[in-house]
Amino acid sequence: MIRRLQSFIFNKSPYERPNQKWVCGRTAEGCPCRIGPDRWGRCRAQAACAPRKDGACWKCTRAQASGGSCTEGPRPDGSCAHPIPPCQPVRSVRSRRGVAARWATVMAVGLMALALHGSDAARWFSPGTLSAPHTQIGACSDCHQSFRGGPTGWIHAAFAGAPDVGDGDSGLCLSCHTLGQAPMNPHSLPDATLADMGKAAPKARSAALSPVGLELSGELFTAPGKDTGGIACANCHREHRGREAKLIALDNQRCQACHTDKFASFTNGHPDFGSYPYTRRTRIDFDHVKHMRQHFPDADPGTAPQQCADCHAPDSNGAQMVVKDFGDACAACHAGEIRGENAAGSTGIPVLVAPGLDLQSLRQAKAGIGHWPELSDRKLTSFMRTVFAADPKLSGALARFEKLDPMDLRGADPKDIQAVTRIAWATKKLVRDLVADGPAALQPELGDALGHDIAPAAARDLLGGLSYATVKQAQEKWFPDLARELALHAAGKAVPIPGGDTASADSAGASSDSGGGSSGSQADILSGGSGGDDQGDILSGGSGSDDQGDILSGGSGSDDQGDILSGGSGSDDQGDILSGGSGGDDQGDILSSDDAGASGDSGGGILSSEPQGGDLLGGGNGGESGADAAASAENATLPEPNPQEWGRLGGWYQDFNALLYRPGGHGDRFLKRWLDLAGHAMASGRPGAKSLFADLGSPDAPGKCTKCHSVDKLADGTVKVNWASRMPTPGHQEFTRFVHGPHFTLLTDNTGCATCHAFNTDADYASSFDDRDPSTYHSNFEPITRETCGQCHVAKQAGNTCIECHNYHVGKVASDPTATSMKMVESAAGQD
Amino acid sequence: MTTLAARRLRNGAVTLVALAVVAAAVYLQFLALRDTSFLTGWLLVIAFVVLAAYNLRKKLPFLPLARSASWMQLHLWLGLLTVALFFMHTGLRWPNGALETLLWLLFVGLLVTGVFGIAISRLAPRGLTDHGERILFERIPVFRAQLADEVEALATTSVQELGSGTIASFYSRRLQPFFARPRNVAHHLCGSGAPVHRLRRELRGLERYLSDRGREMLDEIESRVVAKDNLDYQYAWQGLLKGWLFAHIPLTYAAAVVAAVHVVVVYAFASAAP
Repeated sequence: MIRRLQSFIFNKSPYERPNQKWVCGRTAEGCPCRIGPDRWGRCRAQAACAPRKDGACWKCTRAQASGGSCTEGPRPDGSCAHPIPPCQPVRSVRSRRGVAARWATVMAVGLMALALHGSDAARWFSPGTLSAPHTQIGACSDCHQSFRGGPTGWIHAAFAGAPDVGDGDSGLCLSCHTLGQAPMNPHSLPDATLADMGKAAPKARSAALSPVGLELSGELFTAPGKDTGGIACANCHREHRGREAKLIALDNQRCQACHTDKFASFTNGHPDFGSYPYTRRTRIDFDHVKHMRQHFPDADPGTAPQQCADCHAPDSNGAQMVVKDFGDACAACHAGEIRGENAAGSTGIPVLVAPGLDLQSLRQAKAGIGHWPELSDRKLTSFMRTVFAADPKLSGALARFEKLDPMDLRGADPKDIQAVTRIAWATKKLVRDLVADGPAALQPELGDALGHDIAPAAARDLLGGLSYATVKQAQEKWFPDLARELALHAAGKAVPIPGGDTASADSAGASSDSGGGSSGSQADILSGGSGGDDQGDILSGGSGSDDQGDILSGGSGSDDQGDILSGGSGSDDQGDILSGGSGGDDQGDILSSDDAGASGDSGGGILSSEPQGGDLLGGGNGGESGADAAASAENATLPEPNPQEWGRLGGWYQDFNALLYRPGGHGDRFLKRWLDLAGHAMASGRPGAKSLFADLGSPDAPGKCTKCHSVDKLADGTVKVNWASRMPTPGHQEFTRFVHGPHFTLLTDNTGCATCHAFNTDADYASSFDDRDPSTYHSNFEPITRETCGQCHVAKQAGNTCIECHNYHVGKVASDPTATSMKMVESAAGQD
Repeated sequence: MTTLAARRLRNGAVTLVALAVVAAAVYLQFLALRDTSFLTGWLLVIAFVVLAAYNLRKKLPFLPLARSASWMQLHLWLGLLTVALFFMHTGLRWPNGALETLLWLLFVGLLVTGVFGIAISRLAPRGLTDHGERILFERIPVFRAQLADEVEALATTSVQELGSGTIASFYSRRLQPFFARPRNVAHHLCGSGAPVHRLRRELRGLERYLSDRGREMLDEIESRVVAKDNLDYQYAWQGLLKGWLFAHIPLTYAAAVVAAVHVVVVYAFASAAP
């Protein structure tokens, strides 16, 4: 038997209103009233019906659903006989659900308010723990500017516009991180640099391989950072992802968001490498192919390297292969060459000279320059030219002087003569300054000349080591009466050029009156003088280099041409009949019995002033009688060495109207400093700098610096000698990162380094150095190809993500050392 | 008039297409080195507002805002789309931070209760129909009280008529508690009829002690026991149908508050422009 309960007959089924908030409290008792509570939950029931008056009688109006009219009927007063006691209304289901919702809202708001204004709001609102490198950042405000404003500040910051990237939170990142020149720019590079690199970069290999998504993304969205003044750090580096999160991980596709040329992967569309890694010529001019094929086979046994690692070694990080230093890699073959050993020409660099002048013409023109070496044929050196050019009063004279042939002034007009005169006096003043104050006197002048303050250490390299004796000797030889002449000139008095014939070349006689010079051995027919101007000294034993016409001179200079009886030891002992030279060209030395060997002495001349042994008519060691020996002993003099040979270990020496400097070996500081300064001065167009650099920077110049060290012209006009091979810059990142170390163990086949660095035997390497443009380059090696790297760098092997081989931030990225003042150190000590 | 299958196919297709478009937009923005959380976050906010507007629509039936059934369909399918949006926004990982964890829990609660609601609204009606008489939920207490009175009257009468207290004692021991309030809710939700079968078995066990009249009265009582059991079934399942909203709707309001705070915090501390 099934008991049916519900009826939907209209007069038996009450109308349910579930949307109402309140229901009758008697529902649970099974007898809810039909009236129901009002909207505020107050019971409205009073009686079962509202009696209706029908004539004189009251009728019950109770609904049939509630049982119909009652048998009792209404009371005589019209009230219902069945009053309903009031109930306690209860909330409907819907109303109770609404209350629950309101409670949930209030609790959420309360919780948020507690968290916002509580003591640890940062912890509550932090979106997560920081990555391991940032765990020591304690305060949110260290990275988020708007945190400092508190909850009201946060609301303001949320609705205010975002500041430019550099002024926002990214600026706080830079308080700890150094990220190149323009940190907010792509790759931390200035816009112009990026534009140039973009034009020069190789293109993606095929447009068909470009991912559609990337192309579409590029069409739909502007490049990041275009509208915000740069790319924020948080665009790529997402923090608050837990301690193990990798901040630098970036999807390959996203790396290309800014690139105009896009591709799918390293093996699918990545541009070919072009000339990588040989993007500019080597700083050291070293032709690998030529050395391997020609020079190494010809080298002395044990000097040539046998393998790449003999010259190349990994740097401290194992990343780049750097060239070993000169001593290990090159000295075995090149050290002597630098010192000028066996050099055919002069091994010294003329620095300060008494320029050769046409004294006869000057006398005729009554130019008063005082004493001047008659036989000097030296040209004005670049050094002197540079110093003179810095003096505004001399620049005009110098310009005119340089257009003349100072050795032939026959056709010179008075202005030319005046220019020559001024240069001559400037030379004398220069010598006087050197004598009086030493090389340091020239420090300010050099600074003015080169447009660059010369620090003491630099001055030491430029001119230090120049001894007083050398300078004094030069002065006494060139300008024996220098002080008096300068005084007269300063007083405006004329200082005529003494002499006028070649027989009495120097004015030593006059100079001796003033006590200026002591070099006077002039006019001593049989003198054993050592003056430089031994002109007409038939039997002089001069040691000057300019012993032209000295029949019996025992000169030791290199220009012993025509010295019949010279005992020169220079290399040009051509035609020396009786020379006792020890130079390389002792051709035809009849009476030479030189025992000086390789020394620079001039011993062996017939009547030379050097009575060293072996000389037939001299006071030699061999074959002399006792009386002769005693006589020669009385006349014994010290040898007059060839100054160039005497100074072969390097340094300053005086020789034939010039103060010269001979490089002492590789890394000579004199040459390096002068070349650096001259190259720098060329940017500002300093007069003299160009010729100075040309003289010192010639591949055949003494020291032969630029034979191996390439010269670059920079954008600002500076000419720079590359003293070192490419060295990694600490804390500096390039676009491409390659670490040699982990690859060594892979190169176990017969090719070794040549797996990647294969010779290009057809390359015209030498032509790379014909100009000063480092991009002019024909490498000895074939460029590394993408396919070489692609053998291993695929996704399932060595990996082919962009950041595997590329850095995003280029430039200086290392943090500077923390600034710690002495006060901080002291206070820390006090706390211990 | 479209069939249920056709409607489902159409709405499902539209949802999938919308999902594909959103996913493509998010992916393209991701490739453009943008923070896609802003896009997915605002899409979530919009979806949330539209979903929550359904409740408002039901409270404003007099406004021409399309049929409630249409809104229901929109609510369902948009809700499913929101699940995908939510995981696009948060990623497939546990949240970090207190606020984000709270918001995550609220949203997951909403998603779970929402899916539960879809399921229960599809499963419950069939069971309600198959079990017995369908009773309006608001009338269940009335009928329960009515049944309780009838059974009490029968039990009282049985003493007088039968001269035995068998039925009366059984009533006071077992039937009165049974009729006093809804019973065996969990069993009904699990689809188990074991309690009522046991009761009926006990009831039938009294037959040997009763006369024919007593057995007639026992039959009367048993019919009312069955009716009461059906009322309890109706109460359990209809209660569930109404009760899941007691979780879903409060969670909505709480999530709305926390989400608003989340948006303010995100914009206040965003280090990268959206």
